[in-house]
Amino acid sequence: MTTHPQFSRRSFLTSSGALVVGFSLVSTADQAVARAMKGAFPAETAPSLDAWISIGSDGTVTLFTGKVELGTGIETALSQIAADELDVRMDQLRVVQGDTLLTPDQGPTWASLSVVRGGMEVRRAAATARALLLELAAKTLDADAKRLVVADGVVTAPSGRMINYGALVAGGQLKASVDPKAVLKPASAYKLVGKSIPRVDIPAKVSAKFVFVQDVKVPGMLHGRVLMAPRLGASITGVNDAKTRKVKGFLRLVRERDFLGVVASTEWAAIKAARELDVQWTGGQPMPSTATVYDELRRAPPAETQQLVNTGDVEAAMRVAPHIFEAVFEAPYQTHGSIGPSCAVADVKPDQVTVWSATQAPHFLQVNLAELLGLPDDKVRVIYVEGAGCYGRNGHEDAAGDAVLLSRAMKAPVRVQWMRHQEHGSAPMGPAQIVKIRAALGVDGKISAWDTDGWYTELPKDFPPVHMSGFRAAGAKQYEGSFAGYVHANQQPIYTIPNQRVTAIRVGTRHVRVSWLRAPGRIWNVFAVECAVDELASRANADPVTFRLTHATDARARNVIERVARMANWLPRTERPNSNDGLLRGRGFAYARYSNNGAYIAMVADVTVERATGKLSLNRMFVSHDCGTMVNPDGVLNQVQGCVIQTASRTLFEEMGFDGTTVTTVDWASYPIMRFSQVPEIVVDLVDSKDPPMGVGEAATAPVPGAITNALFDATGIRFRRLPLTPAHIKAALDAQKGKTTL
Amino acid sequence: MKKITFELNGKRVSIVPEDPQMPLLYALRNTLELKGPKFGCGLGQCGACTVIIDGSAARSCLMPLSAMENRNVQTLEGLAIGDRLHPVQQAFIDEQAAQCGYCTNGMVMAAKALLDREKVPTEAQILEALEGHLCRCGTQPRVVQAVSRAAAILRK
Repeated sequence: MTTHPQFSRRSFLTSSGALVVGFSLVSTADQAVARAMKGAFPAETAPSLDAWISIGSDGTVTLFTGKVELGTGIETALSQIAADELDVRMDQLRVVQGDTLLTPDQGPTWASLSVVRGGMEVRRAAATARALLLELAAKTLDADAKRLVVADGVVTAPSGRMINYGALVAGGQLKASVDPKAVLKPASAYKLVGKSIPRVDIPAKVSAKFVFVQDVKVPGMLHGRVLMAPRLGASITGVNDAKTRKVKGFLRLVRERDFLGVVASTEWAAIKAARELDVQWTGGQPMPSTATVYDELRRAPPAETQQLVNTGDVEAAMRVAPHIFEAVFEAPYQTHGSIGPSCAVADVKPDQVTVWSATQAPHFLQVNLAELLGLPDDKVRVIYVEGAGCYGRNGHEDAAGDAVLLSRAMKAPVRVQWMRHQEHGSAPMGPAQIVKIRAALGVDGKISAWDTDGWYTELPKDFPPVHMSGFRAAGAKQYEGSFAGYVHANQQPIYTIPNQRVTAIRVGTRHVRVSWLRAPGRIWNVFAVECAVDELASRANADPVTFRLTHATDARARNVIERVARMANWLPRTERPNSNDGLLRGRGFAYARYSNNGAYIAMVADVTVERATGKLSLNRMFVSHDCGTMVNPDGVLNQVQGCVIQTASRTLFEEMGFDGTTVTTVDWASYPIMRFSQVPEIVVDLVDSKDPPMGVGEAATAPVPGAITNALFDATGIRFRRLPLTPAHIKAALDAQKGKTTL
Repeated sequence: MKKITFELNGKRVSIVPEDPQMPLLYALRNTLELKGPKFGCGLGQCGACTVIIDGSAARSCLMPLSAMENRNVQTLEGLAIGDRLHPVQQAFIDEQAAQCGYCTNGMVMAAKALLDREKVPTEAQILEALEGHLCRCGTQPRVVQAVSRAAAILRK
């Protein structure tokens, strides 16, 4: 049972004594985002909330964060930072996250920024609190604040007198604003930061004590299921509910234009009621077939063409270059593939709406829902409850919208759980992408020019709100279009190249809703760059690793490249080894700097390919990873391993399918992902660094497709430029190659 | 409507289901208010709903209540004895073998069922027991480590 108590912020704080540090946790950049986003709704802007650290009279420290735990371990990392700065133990600190009533708006949890930005904000708040507490203690203990020592929340004076944080605050309400000049602890004083402190959430997750959003129950809760259009924009022409009405427990059909849901008193009744409903749909956006996805993308009229980079003189360099290389790289639509389909609970009362959701952006969702319901922001409370890993924006916000619509109709709390085929078929997808590269090798064997066009299925609008499919179907006005973010990041090659032109071609949403899927845009940009650079190395008769080093001046880049090569015992290839056991063997290299300004990662992939079937086995992946200071090294390692496995799966198996009328890949049979037996051995070198921390949740995805594809070339002599690298795809290429050589 | 009685985590429970074809998963989560077994697909494809029935790992999303009469069911809730976690659970914590944790129920239950039968599982046997379990976050190496670790502890 997990009802969150309904209380106001004021009542939360008027327990017997508290120290409250209030401040604006919103960084200037995120503040601009929040303001711009709120500006999209002219009706109302809610005052931004102050953020709090509160210390209760029992000594418990509560950290309120807008950044939320998505499964990557940031709740633990932020706790380490706060506990270290405050000199308390981890078990003396608890976190309240992503509750629009209680926590600050730190902007969405995205872009691998939680520790980098959120962590710094938390550190300053904690340092402010500690300084204040020491001031109080100095008075109480009649000592010089500078000579006090703190451990486990207990302050001790040189005299031996001591007092704990709880006693210091008892009986009074103390408030302060964050001191931007608060003295922060030096790294040498860290006890928790930098250590692999065990995740605070895992014990509950292995013992059925953890409450996921899918586990939320509220008194009087009903169950809803939504009937979803087979394609974007289709409308309902007929509904036959004869069989539905016979389902025991069925309560009501809810229909608002093309939004259609069933509500029942039990979950099983809701599932059956939805299954028994006979719905006719018509129209909607034309769908491609799987085979025509790239043609459709290439032929789509561009909404905007942006020249991102134009340096030197590309054409002049091309004119005199001895070698010109040109290739087009293609990556498919993919689904986030969350193991737990999207889910939300909503309780819509006339003057107060509460939504339990696993959204990455509770404050965005709050503002959206308030606008759609015609309520002031502070009448809508979004409470973050962790769902299964979502890896970007999947269907959680849509499920929240669905639950709100049903709850409003039923005047009771309603839980909506998306079914598997809905999660695959109707949640926004990671978009297909095309990257064209034309590059020149100079007489010196170095890359002298680079000209690249990238097709992105998103529009470069200002921060729009989260667009919910249920409200759209119901005919509500929502901001159309999606935000591109920095999906063009990594399209510019990271290497030293004197003449460059980088062009981004933005096309509108084509056939399906698209959203950010882990390392959006960047992942396929790095795939293209790393495959192209590998091909250029071949043309230059250079070893792939040596070739990267020739074009990389950044010492940290060179470091990870050299380290991984050493670790993998990379040797220049003089000739492809003979294979007489039906297995082709190869290894490939790739390097990336995430977003061209983040973590540095180099990888070597070892693969074998079965000639007869085209099946590729990724046997081993070596990784060298430099993300600056690591708050929790094992947390980083977990993310690196996860990025490698998930991205290897996307590279080898994953492609959303369409048949001209609808999405065809709607379960794990039709959209297989990597299984235990296919997982590679992963050897990771985490560079020990004192440099500022850089985001880790996505960085190690980027070199994976390039490393595997380059390994596949090493094994087969064939350059692959389209993903996924399925057995059928590889076998067809091997057969064609055999056909050529026997001529 | 017929009463269905089975043993759940060491206690006898009786349910009078509206629909005897309702999968066990919903009885466990809704009627009996458990959180261990998860809805992942309802199709038996992912393993998130795994429970142990008469000693074997089973997909509760595919088991109709009508087939549960007199069976012995164990869920994640039933592994710990008081506050003492089962070695498999403790091993998952010690190896930090989770990220989002949504697939963890299935992994732990499948591992427990394996180790109940097989004291010295080979890596191949561990992989076979887990092959039908999907993890999207990519914790598989840690999960395999955790199962090996638990096996070693159980042997002591």
